[in-house]
Amino acid sequence: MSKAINLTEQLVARCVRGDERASLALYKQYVKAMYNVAYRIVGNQFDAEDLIQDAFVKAFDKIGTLKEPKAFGSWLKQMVINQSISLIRKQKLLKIKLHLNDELPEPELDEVPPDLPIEQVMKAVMELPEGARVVFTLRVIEGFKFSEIAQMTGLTENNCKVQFHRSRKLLNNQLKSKIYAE
Amino acid sequence: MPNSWEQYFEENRAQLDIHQPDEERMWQAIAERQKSGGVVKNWGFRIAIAIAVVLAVGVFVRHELMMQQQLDTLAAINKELAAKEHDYIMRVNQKWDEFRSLPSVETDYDAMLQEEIKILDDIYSKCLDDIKAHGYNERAVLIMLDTYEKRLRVLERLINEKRKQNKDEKKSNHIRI
Repeated sequence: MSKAINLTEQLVARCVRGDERASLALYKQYVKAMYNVAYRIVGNQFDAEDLIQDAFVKAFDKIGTLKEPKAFGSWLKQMVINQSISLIRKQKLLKIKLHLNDELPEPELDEVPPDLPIEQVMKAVMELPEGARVVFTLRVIEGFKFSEIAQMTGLTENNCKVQFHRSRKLLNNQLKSKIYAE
Repeated sequence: MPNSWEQYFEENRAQLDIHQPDEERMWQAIAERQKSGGVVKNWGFRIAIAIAVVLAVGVFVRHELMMQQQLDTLAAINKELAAKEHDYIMRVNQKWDEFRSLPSVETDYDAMLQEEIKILDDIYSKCLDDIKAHGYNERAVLIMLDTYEKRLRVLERLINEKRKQNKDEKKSNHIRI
């Protein structure tokens, strides 16, 4: 682990000095993970590719301002998430605001079936409505708090919680019906 | 058995990245964008480049201004023109010497030559003034070089006239005798 951190730090230092091979090495180290982060938020390959290119160009351009080189990964990931949310907000796809009520429903237990293949779950997540998918992804997969999600998306914390509840319910039902259909 | 989605994803974190990006193509796009815009990364380097550019422009402008102020011959512009002008001057001087060495009864030739040369000198000076005012321009340089060609032709014509006249003079002297 410490070796990996040292390597990242070294690559960042070389990158600051303008070493192109170090930039490529950093890119190879992070591109797949970052691409998937973007894909899970924006929901399509083309926007994810554009976002990742923008994020890496921006990151390499501003790498000299990075105070902790070992935090390159989380710095880049935050950049990718912010740009992804910004893109879907720009495209007015983030229809998170609920039209019915904004009240928090009673908590419901997840019914996660055992040995459920991740591909099947991810497919179901990607099929969730935009707002529900974004909040679910940021909360469950990326591990953000509701307050942080609210800040990033520009929604209220309560709205995020409602959206999260909705996503869980939809996901449970969707997977249940798929399992029963099989 | 996981009892929440949080737990499920935590347990399956290693397999989360199911989408495979086209790494090669994306890197090429990133590298191209870096070359066109984001090559200069750190501020120190950017400032150094900015200073270098300002200095280079300053030196160039100063050089141009000095050159334009001191410009009184084509030779001041570049080595190639200096060589060409030197060659022309040598040839013109030779013709001058030849012209002066020929005896002449007709003094009008000297006056005619002076007049033609004066016109060519004026043209040369006007072109030089144009270069001083507006910087190097090919047309003015060509006209200036052409004044040397004309000087040579004028001198040759007058030398021939003088020779012809001298020949005629000798002939008529011979007949008188």
